[in-house]
Amino acid sequence: MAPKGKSGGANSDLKQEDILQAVVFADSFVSTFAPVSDDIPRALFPVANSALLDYALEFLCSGGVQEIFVVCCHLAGQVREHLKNSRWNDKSSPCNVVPVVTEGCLSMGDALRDIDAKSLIRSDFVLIYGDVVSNIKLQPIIDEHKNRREKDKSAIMTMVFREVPPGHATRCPQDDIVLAVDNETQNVIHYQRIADSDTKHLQFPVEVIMEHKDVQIRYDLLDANISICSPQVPQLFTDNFDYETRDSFVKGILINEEIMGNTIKMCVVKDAYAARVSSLQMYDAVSQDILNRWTYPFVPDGCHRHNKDNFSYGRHNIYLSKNVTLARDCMLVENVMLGRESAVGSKTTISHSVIGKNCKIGNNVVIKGSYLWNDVTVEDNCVIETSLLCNNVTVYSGVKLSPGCVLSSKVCVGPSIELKSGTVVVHSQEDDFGEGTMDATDGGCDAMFGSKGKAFLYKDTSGDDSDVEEVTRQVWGITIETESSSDEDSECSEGSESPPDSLQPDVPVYYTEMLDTVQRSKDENISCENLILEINSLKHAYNISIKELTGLVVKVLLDQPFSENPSLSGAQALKVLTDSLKRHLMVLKNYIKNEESQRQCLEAIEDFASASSAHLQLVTKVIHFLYEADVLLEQTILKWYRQVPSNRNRGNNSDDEDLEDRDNKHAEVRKQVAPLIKWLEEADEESSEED
Amino acid sequence: MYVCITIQGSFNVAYTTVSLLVRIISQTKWSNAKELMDIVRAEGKKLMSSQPSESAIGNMVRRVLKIIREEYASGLKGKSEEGDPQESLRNKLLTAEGNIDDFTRSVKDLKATVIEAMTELKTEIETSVDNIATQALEHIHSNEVIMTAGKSKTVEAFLKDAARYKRKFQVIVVECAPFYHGQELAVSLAKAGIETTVINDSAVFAIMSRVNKVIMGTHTVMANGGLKAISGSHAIALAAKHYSVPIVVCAPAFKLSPEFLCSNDQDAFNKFESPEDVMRFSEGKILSKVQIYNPVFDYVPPELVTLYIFNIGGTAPSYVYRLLSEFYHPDDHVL
Repeated sequence: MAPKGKSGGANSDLKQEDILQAVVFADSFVSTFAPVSDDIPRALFPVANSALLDYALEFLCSGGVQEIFVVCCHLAGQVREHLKNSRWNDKSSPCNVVPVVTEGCLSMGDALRDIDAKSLIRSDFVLIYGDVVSNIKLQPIIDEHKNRREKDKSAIMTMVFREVPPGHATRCPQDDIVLAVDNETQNVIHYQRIADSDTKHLQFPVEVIMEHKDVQIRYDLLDANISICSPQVPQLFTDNFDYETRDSFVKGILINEEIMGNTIKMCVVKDAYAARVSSLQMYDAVSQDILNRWTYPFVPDGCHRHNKDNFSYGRHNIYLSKNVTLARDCMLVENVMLGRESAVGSKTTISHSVIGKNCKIGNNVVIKGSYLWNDVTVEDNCVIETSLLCNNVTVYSGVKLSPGCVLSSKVCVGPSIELKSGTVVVHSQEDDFGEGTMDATDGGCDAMFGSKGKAFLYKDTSGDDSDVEEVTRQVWGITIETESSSDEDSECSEGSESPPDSLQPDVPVYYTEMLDTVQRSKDENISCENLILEINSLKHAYNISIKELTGLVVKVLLDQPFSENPSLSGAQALKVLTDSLKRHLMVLKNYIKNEESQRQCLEAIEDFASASSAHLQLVTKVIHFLYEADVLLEQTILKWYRQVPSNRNRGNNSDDEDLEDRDNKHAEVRKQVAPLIKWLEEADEESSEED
Repeated sequence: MYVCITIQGSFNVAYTTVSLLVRIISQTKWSNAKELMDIVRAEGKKLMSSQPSESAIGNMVRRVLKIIREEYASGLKGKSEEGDPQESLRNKLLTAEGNIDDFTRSVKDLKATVIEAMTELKTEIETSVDNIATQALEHIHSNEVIMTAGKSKTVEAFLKDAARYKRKFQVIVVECAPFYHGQELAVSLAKAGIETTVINDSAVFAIMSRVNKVIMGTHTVMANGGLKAISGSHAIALAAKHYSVPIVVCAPAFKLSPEFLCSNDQDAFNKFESPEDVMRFSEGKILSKVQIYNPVFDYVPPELVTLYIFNIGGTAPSYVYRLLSEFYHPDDHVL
């Protein structure tokens, strides 16, 4: 019945077999939205009172896609049911939407392999997630992709990005990417997700710069995971079973570019909207963008609505559905959306929020930046800020929800309680022994949720640590930050400090590990070569620089006998120590080669000596032994001796007092070593006289 | 019925709507005029809800309903209900009375005649722009300075037609930010050999004193003779009023709508597009702190318009109501 539009019609007349296909993943294969996504799949989350999946389908449909495969895994039944009752199942639907149930798929790779096995893909297709909201005009991009493919068969994929500079509200740190592109060919050469690397440093392979004349490195792109793929892509997924996600696929293609010859192109869109609801922060950002009409024509009052909810649009971005009851003195400030048959009581203020169908909101309520799904009841005098209230939630009177709360479906809280920032509440809970679930209706729920409360604090059952704080930070995290700038600052400073912190603890760990290794090598009589190998592998495992290593090795070798037997002293100690050093001479020679490493060795000895008076007496002997063994050279020892101790303070974070203390100790060490130095100097003079 | 997502421009919308209704009428099953009208009304409602801001859809549905009524009446009586517009009011009332209630009787060849009349309607739509353009010489005189705003196909044809007859005149085009359709029009006119100047929207008042005539297109002609035109039109109309410059509006008849502006809150009838054109999405953080509006239309009250040029001739705004009753049956004003 649908008459031929501008798009598609002419094409399909010419080439009947060449219809445009798309694959939509109605599953994200990650649990970012737990516990909300436990009983409703992410693709069906209401965003501005319309299922997320419908935005993706509308977007594809307006791009001229005629056949869409919706891959359902998690809660596949719900997705199928939704599609069945939607307008996509109408006879008049402009495109054919086919649900593909692939239960048991754990990743996007599995799902694509399944698609390939069913051989559903016949030509170039669009690959997106079901949580994409976009109004990009696909047609020109697809045409460009096809034209390119005709000339060059190896351009198997076009990735579509939206230009969004850093610091933009619609940008989520988890999704930050950096990529390098060849300006000439528009080939993606390097693609990296910043969240994957644990440091603030980015590493680029040298080849990126070496092998390409004109490279641009971009950090201002938002990856909405929209890609135009050629039919080879599912085949490649089948051939390489280790491709799990699109990221790993992209990485694989880029690494094998030389061998396979496949390339990935990129396309940057500057004047259209594209974003993925990948986290609660993005849920918030995308919802606000929709209310601000960035997604036009996919706006609540737009033509794409066929869910019988006709929204009328009013000043200050207020969207009202039919049969909405508003008290005379309620205030809808701006960016507000009220679903069908919702009621708002008097003196209630709502701003920057979306209220679903059939919600009842009492008097004197303040709702700010929050999302209420369907059938939510909020009683009088509540304050709800930046929170998510899922279906059938009841908030009794006088409840205050601080920013970042998530109340998953059927939860009841109150009356007269306050939930602290970032609380995640669920209706039922697996009990501590993992035997069946406890339902809040049976009673026995936390007192913190009020006398009528039916709720539990959410515990992440999948993770090993059930640290609720961490979970909530994962869930809302940055949204709370954007709400108050002071929060943000503190978060930022925290963030910048944490990387060095995470590195620092490795050194002591490494030290004990090495001590154990040396101990074991003695006990089990392992040869020095093997010990060197072990030390080297430890170095890589703990990310220790070669500079630090020398000092550490010496320190460990010196400490080892004492850690074995702490009561060692006097001549006995000297004997054990020299034995141990003799045994490990090869190890020492391996690490101590040049002047620099010798100096580090001496510093380590110095540290060792200053640890206790017993050690102090040994230091001359140790240095002498090493001198005799040709590990340390005369000049280096002399140089070290003459150096002012405080000069070589390596800038450790010790106080002045500490420093002084150490200087004193070092002076003592020098005093102890003085006879040896004198002897060395004399020997030196003698030798020069001999010459 | 999802055409409107991809079809742009009132002309295309009107033409496609009629084509679609022809298909519906010829392919669905109905036994009498009442059923047919119900079908058309139901389909029309669906179409209109799919694109609420395109009034041309509703207009065409009403025209088709009127055609069905006329063909039914003429089939029944063997003579046209329409008759001659000069017919006396009493006479018209009498003839109308006879067939207003009962549309259930079967009429021979109703389908064929209705489709034939609709084909005529399609031809009318197709030729409407040409018909308007041919009137150009009567309105554009030698050495005149003409101001226009945005890009209207009708106005473009109108001006080019005048230029075709070697009439010398100058055109000042208001660019109409943020869509800048005015710039496209200016390019097109300059290529046709017309002396063209582009000005920005804020310069309208400054330039108006030397303009002889404002010729504009419109999206819809409202029932009271007002305009729903590209945003910025109201400002131009007020400036023209200040300098007593006549405003001529070129509009094909399918843009004539029986709708009124119900409230002064323009948001109800306006269309708001993505703010992208006003402020780029990549501007960054500031976006969450500002409200950006990008309205497409402006309402121009009828007292500011001097003359309408329809494809059936020139009309004063006060006469629009008469045309309405000629095009649409009063029962169809609300579908």
